Amino acid sequence: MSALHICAALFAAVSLWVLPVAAETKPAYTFAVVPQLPPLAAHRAWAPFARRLSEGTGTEIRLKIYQTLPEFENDVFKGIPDFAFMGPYEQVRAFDPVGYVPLVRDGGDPLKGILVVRKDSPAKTVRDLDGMEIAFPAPNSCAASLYMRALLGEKEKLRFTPRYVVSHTNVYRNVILGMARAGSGANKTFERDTPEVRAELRVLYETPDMVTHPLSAHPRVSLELRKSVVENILRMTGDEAGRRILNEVQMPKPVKADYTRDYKPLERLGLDRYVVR
Amino acid sequence: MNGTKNGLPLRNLVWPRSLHAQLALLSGLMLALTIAVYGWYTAREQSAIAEKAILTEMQILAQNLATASADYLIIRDFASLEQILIQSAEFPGVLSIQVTDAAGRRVGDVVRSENSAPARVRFGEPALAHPSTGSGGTFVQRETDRLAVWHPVTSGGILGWVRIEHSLRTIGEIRGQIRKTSLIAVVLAILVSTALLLAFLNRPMRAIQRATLFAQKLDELRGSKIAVDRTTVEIEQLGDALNEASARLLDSESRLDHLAHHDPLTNLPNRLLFLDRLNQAISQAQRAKNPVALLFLDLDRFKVINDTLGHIIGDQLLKDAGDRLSGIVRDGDTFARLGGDEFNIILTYMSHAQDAATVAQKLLDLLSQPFVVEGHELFITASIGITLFPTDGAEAQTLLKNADAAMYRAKEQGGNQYQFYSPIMTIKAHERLAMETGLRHALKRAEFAMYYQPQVDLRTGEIVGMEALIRWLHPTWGIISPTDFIPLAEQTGMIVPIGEWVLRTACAQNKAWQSAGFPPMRMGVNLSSRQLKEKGLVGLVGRVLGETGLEPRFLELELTESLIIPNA
Repeated sequence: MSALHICAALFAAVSLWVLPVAAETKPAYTFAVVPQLPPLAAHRAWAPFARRLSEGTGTEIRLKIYQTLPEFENDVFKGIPDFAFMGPYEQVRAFDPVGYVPLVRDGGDPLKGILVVRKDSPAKTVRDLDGMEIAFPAPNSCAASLYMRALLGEKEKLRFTPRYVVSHTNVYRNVILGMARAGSGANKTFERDTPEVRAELRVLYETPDMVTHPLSAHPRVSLELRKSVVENILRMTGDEAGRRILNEVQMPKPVKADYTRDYKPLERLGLDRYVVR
Repeated sequence: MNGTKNGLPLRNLVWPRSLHAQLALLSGLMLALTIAVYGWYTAREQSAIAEKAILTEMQILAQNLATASADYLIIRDFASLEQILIQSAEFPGVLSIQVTDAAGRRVGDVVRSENSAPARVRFGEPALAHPSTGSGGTFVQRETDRLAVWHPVTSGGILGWVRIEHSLRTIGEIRGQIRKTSLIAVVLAILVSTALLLAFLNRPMRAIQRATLFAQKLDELRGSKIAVDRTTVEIEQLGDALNEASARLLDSESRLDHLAHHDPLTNLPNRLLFLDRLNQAISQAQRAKNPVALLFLDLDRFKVINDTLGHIIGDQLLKDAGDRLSGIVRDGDTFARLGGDEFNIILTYMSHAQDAATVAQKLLDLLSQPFVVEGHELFITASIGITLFPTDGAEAQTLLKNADAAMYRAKEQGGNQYQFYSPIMTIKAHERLAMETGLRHALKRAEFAMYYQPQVDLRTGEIVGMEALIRWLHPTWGIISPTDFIPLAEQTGMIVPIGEWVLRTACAQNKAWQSAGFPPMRMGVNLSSRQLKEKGLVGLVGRVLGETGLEPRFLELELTESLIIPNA
């Protein structure tokens, strides 16, 4: 047996070993989710969606859950995840440097930042909160923090001390437990929290409507795949299970997103000065 | 009505009176009791084990939660804290989990209403009073339906507390389950063991019933046996005992029967049996037309022997005489003792009357040999009276009476002979009876008189003494000599009071004559051996002498032999 024969045989053996594995392996894509909720809750909310999308696109969508917003933004601005569900202003901030393309967003209710107090709080208007400590999720949360802080400071001329408690859900609980007089969250997270939580709180103040969170793709993701993702998501509205899945991820009425139409206008809001880098 | 029904206490309705049922029920109850006790004990054990297991798990869970909660408490991430509480509350049996700050204020509160429902968040509950133990370990509070496990959340110092409430309902369920199983087992045990024992004891109990029935009818069934069940010792013993009793009863009866029909001394047939045989013989003779003979044999002078040698020797003599004489009779005949010193014989199937005489003579010949009793050589003779059926009577009573008369005649003729009955003997018997009656009244009616016969010295011609002789002066029969009535008096025992009268009268008369001045002399008074046998005779003589005042040297007592004095 010559050396060539041995090599050929080895090659055949190795391919036989590798190929089946290779044939079974689907292409994997990372999907980062903005941390509005604690990781466990976030995972619970997004895992069915990711699974359904994996099945629909024939790929493996791997969720990436973050504990804090800075960690998330870090990865996003490095362009690490293939897909990302991010805040609208993050989309704006990341568009030029990284190039994430919004694919779909919720077409139903718009996003709003809400300021909540305990239901038995003596505060009647936002003015009653003057000089108080107010809880926010993270400095760069779009509606809950950036927009709300801008409004409170510039429009309402309120003096307050922000305290950052990481997640929307923690904002609500801090207020209920009396750790903060008021807290700022978002309507989309508030309405998805437990009835017990909502029963304890009262919305004192709201931001104006904001465009909803996009589900965006990194430019390296193939057009074909992007198209497939969009189609799959839109198709989920067709069955009961799919609709439930979509509701969990804050997209009960998914529509195709367009950066110029949907997100470019946010550049004019002047929120940049509130961003913490 | 205090607890009776049909006269039985109510208790008997619940607790059976049958041993069979009692044993069966008792065994069932014992088994049931054992199971119940075991069940109760097991329930307790199992509950304790289950509770311990729950406690251990909860302690571990609390410890883990405390560790995990520390970070969140510090950074005040109550949302994340809530998440792990919700996850932990999935643990089966957990009722609620709270995390409090150091002051006891709840910062996380999750409850589950039932085992299947998901955990819910809860707000607004009051602060918890945390345990005041200084130790860093878990603390347990136990209530009837739940367990609360506390664990401090520490990081340097105590940041707060974790409290987990766990339901103890499962333990109650375990206990309930065991109780239910035990109850079923108890009922089954009672039923099964009762049934088993009823079946098992059936055979012995029926054996006892049979034995009881046999015992109840032992009277009728005497002599017969029951089949003895040998499966158990007790019943075997009962059966054997009953069979033995049955045999003994039969035996006793036979013996009783024998005793009832036989003379105890000689073992010869007694009056009862004798009469029965006689009637039989008469009936048989009426059919077969052959004569039956009745022989009454009376031992002459038996009284003398009895009085002089005592009744022990007398009895033995009777027995020996009975033995010797009874050998003469054949199988169909009867040799009996009806009483006293008399033997009575029934001879059947005789060809003619002369056969009876032959037998009588044989009997007399047999008696010619002496009897030796206790070293005494005794000669006795007998007087035999013979009656024949149907010649001398058609009925048993008549035959008996006539045989007696014939025997008496033989005695009158001197004894040691036999006499056939003749009607005149009846007359004589009647006479004798009349005399006996008269004699009984004679003393009362003072029909006796004393005659004194002087004793004369033939040489001097002087009266040297007297003999007192008694005469009976009967109003209708005239003067009756003592030879005619003394033997009868001795037979009837009248001789005693008569003798006393004689003694008294003679002594008094002698004394009277002495007092009258006549020369004093001896008075002879006859005594029969019958009187001699009386206890207190000496005392009597003494008393009489004392009362009459006669000096003893003037009284001479003469003993006469008690004989039926033969005619010339």
